[in-house]
Parts: sequence; C-alpha cells; structure tokens
Amino acid sequence: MSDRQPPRDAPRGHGAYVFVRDALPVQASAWLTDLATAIRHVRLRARQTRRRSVRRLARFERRLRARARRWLRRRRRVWRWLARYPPIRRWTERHAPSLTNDRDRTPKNGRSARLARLLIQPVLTLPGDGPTIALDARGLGSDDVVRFLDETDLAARTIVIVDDPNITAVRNTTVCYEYAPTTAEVSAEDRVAWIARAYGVDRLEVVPKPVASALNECT
Amino acid sequence: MNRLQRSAQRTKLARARCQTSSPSIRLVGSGGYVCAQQTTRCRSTPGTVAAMIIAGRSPARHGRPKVLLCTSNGVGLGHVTRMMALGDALRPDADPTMFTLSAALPIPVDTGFTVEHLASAQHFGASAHQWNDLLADRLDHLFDAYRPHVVVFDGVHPYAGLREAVRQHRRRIVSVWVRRGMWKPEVSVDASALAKLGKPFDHIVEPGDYAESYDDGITTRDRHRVDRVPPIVYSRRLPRPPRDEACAELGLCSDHTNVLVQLGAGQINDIRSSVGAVTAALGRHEGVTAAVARTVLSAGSAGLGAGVVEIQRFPISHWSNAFDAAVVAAGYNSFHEMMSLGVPTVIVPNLDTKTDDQNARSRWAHDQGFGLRWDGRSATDLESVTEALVDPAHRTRLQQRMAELPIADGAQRLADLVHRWSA
Repeated sequence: MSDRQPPRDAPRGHGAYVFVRDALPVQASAWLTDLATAIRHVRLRARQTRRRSVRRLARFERRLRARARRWLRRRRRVWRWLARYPPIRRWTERHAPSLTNDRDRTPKNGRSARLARLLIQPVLTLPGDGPTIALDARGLGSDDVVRFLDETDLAARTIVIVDDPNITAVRNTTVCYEYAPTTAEVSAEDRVAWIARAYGVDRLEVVPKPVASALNECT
Repeated sequence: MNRLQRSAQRTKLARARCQTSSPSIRLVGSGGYVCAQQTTRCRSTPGTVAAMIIAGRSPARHGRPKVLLCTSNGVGLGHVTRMMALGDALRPDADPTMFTLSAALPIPVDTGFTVEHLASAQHFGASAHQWNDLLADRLDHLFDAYRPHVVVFDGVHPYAGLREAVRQHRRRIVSVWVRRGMWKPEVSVDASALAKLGKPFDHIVEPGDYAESYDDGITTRDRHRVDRVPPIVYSRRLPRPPRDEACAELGLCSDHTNVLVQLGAGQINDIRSSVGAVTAALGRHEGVTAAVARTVLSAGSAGLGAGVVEIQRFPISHWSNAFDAAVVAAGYNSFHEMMSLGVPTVIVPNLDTKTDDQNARSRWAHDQGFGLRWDGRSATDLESVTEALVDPAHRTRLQQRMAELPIADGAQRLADLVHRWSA
C-alpha cells in the first residue's frame, strides 16, 4: 500500500474534459481511436516515404560514384596497356606522332589520329590554353636552363625536361618541369614517351646548347 | 588419419613438389622471380606456375632485393635524410632507389643514389585529384621499370596516388609506411582516418624518438599495429675527421668555442631574425664563433655579421668534432643528430609546423636535462641560454646526461626488417 499514489484532494470529474466526454456519444470513443490510428498511419507513411527517397538518392549517388571510379580505373588500365603494348604504341606513333617523342614526322589530323588522341589522353592537363610543349633541356646546367627560360617567351602550357639535379633554380621560375635522368632501368626514350603521354605533349622542342657549353664539349 | 592430418600431409607433399620443381619455375618466371607461395595450390607443371606468376601471386625474389624509397615533399630534410639513412644501411645487400617530391634532390644524388623526382601538386597548378592521378601513373611506371620488391614511404600523409599505386601492386610489392610520431595533439586526424591511411600498407614502422614520453599525438593510440625501431639518424659510413681537420675544412678556428647554428630550412617561419639574434648573442662572448649551416632548401644568405662563418655541408654530423655546442631547430633530424652525438645544444622549437610537435621535443630535452631550450622569442632567455652554452662546466653536464641515451641505430634495424619482409 505504501507505493500507491496519495489520494486526490478533489474528486475526479471536475475538469473541462468531463463536459466534452459527456457531450460525445457513446460510440465516439471508437471513432476517436480510429481517427488517431489513421493520423498515425499517415504520418508513418510520410516518414517511410521520406526515408526511402533519401535512401534511394544515397544509393543512386553511391552507384554513380562507383561507376565513375570503375570508368576511371578502366580508362587508366587502357592507357597503361596502350603504353606498354608495342604494336599499339607503334600504331599511335604512326598515326598521332604528336603524342610521342617522334618529332620528325608531321602531325596528322585524320580519323586514325583522332582515334589515337581519344585513346591516349593526358593524365594531367597543364593549366592555360594552347598546345602543350615539352622543352628538352637535358644536358644543360640549371643556370643555362634558367637563362634560356628568362630570355624566351614561353607558351602557357610548357614543361621543361631537365636532368640536372639542382632543380631549385628551375623551380623558382614557376615553370612546370620534369626531372628525367637517364638510368640503367629507364632509358631516355622511355622517359620522354612517358612525359609525352602523361602531359599530352603536342610538340617537343630541344633547347639549344649555349655556345660556351658547346665549346666545352668540343674541347 | 583425420581431416586435419590429411590436409597437413597434402600441404607437405605440395611443398615438396614446389621445391623439386624450382629450376623449371625459374625458367618460366621473368625478372628473376621464383615461386614462393608454397601452398597446396602449387603445381609443378610449367603452365600452372606461369599462370600463378602472371597472376602475381607473391613471387619471391631471387638475388638482391630492390627497394624503392619514397619520400614526401616535407618542409625540411627529415624525410629525405631518414630514407638516405635506410638506403645506406640497405646498400650492402640490396639495391635502393629513391623517389622524392622534395627539392633536396642534389643531396641523395651526390651520395650516389639513383633518384627519381616529381614536383608537388602546387607546382603544376593542378587539382589534387589530377596530381594524384599523375603520381599514381608515375609510380606505376617506376614499379614497372625498377621492379622493386619493397616500397618504403616516409611521410606524414601517404598521398592518394601513392596509396592507389601500392594497392594495385600489392600482390607483387611489399609496402611499408615509415610514420614519424610526435604529432601535435591538435592535428585534425582521428584514429579511423589514420587507420584508413595505413590500410594499403603491409607494414607501418615508427622511428623512435628520444622525447616519446612527451608524445601526446594521435599516433600514440595506434602503436599496437606498428613496428617500432630506435631513432633513425643519417651519418656517413666514414670515420668522422678529427677536430683540427674538421675545423680547417669548415674554415673554423680549433682554439675557439665553435657553435653550430642550424635553425631549419626556413620554409615555415622566418628564421633569419632568429639566426641573427642567436649569432649576435653568441658574438657577445669572447672566443666564441658561430657557424651558420645552410642547406639546399635554405632561403638566401641570412645577412650574417662579421665573424660568423657560413657552411653548407651534408650531413653536418660528419663534421661534428669541429663544434663544441649547437643551437638547432627541434626537428627530428637535427635534434636526434645532436643528441646521439652528444653535442651540447640549445633547442629552438618551430611552433608553426603542421604536424611535428617540436615544442614537446624541446620541453622534454629541457625538463630531463638533456639540452637547453629557447622559445625563439624572448631576448632575455636567449642571453641566459647562450651564457649556459658557452660555459664549459654546463656543457660537460649536458654531455654526461646525453651519454645515457640509447644508440640511434634505427636505420640498421629498419634495414633488417626490410630484408626480412623482402625475403
């Protein structure tokens, strides 16, 4: 008995709800129950629909992202395969020489060249407009390279290929560069081919050696 | 014979078959690879083995292992130096090659390393996504060209491109992340993000830090899954020249108290004013010569006053006999070099670093009596620490304390681990 509520001071039935209860017919209790249930169901349906749409949107987005990732992976795989597989590489060299380091051939703009360009896309597109030009400055010291870069009006998309490890000066010119030393494992041609493919090089130009360097080589 | 015993017998038979058929496997495998996954799946027929090798099922190496040491850009020389130390330790039995994003390229090139380099994303003006694609492609190209057995990356944050390249070559290449500890507690990387970064790597190694008891960074909560080695310090494998010879080479007077001043690469904060203050404070003492060290990453000349010697050598520890004391930044490299060599040092923390908790490192040295600390700001503090530094009795006390520190042979220990993993 001790845990029961203490008795009320006033008897039940003195609130406003008592009048409402008495005014309603006997079957109103069932009507009210049904109405409350109906309202609850409507709210539940609305909530379920909202959650379902959110779930569907999330799933849609997830699938889109996965598809994009898959597509990117496939594209990369194709690039790598194309770069490795000699017949295809030779074919692209023939039909789209601007993608390779072969500078003796005239670039073609035929259907096969367009197809080759479509298949082999640059991994990184340099900022700016116009063709991407690679300046081959291998064999030059960093001072000579910097002097040449200062004196020359460079295209917006230019990448300088150097093999002098003192790259700080070249870095400070803010020109994009690639350090490409010739090692036992990676030949010079292989390296230039990778640069051409990675940056989508349209034209390869060789930086002329300064007179002093040329004389030193001769002597 | 129950099922387990039968399975064990099958495994044993398969292993025996693999071992007896190894010459034919060697003939099939290109690039000196042989079959090493000695499981019940091994079959001695050349076609099956070739298929296994083409599928890239963990072929073991044959001959000297090739190791590709990758470093992030960094603001100093810490990452490059640690990898050079590892490369030097590996050289007798392995062929290390470096791939770095750092501009400190001439240093490993001068010491005889084959070095590959790629400029960092900011330099290309490209988005991080594009640059990571480029990095992944470049690494893919290098993996094909050099065919490394182990790839070791030293850096705070493994780039997405690196992670992708490592993930793609996971079956063929063992990958290791050398992750320095002592991260600042306020670094916004939580435990799950750290675990995600380390997921593509087969092993994570944490080079030791003398001040690790003051480490309160996120990496302390991830130590259960890392291999730990003693501090890694780079030093030439040649005997250090005696004092007279070292002083003559550096242009110092061997009778003077020569103090090395090396306050970092100057890429984070303005070190010129700090260097100027330190050299001025040292210049006020009779018979003390300040020698300011510069690296390839250092900004231009600090406008040094009269009587101050400027030196550009690497590693500076090789000429440590020329110095009686030092004032160095609290970066991993300088700090451990000085501590392991027992040079009495004033440690100046760089408070503007992104992750490296240099303040904790300098506090540890000061609190435990291994070194002196200057916060880089207070002129009165600078006067007191330089006075203590030029005092021979105080220097002796510091040297005695530093002699208690364990040897910093982490490079050799890490090299042993790399050899074990590459086998």
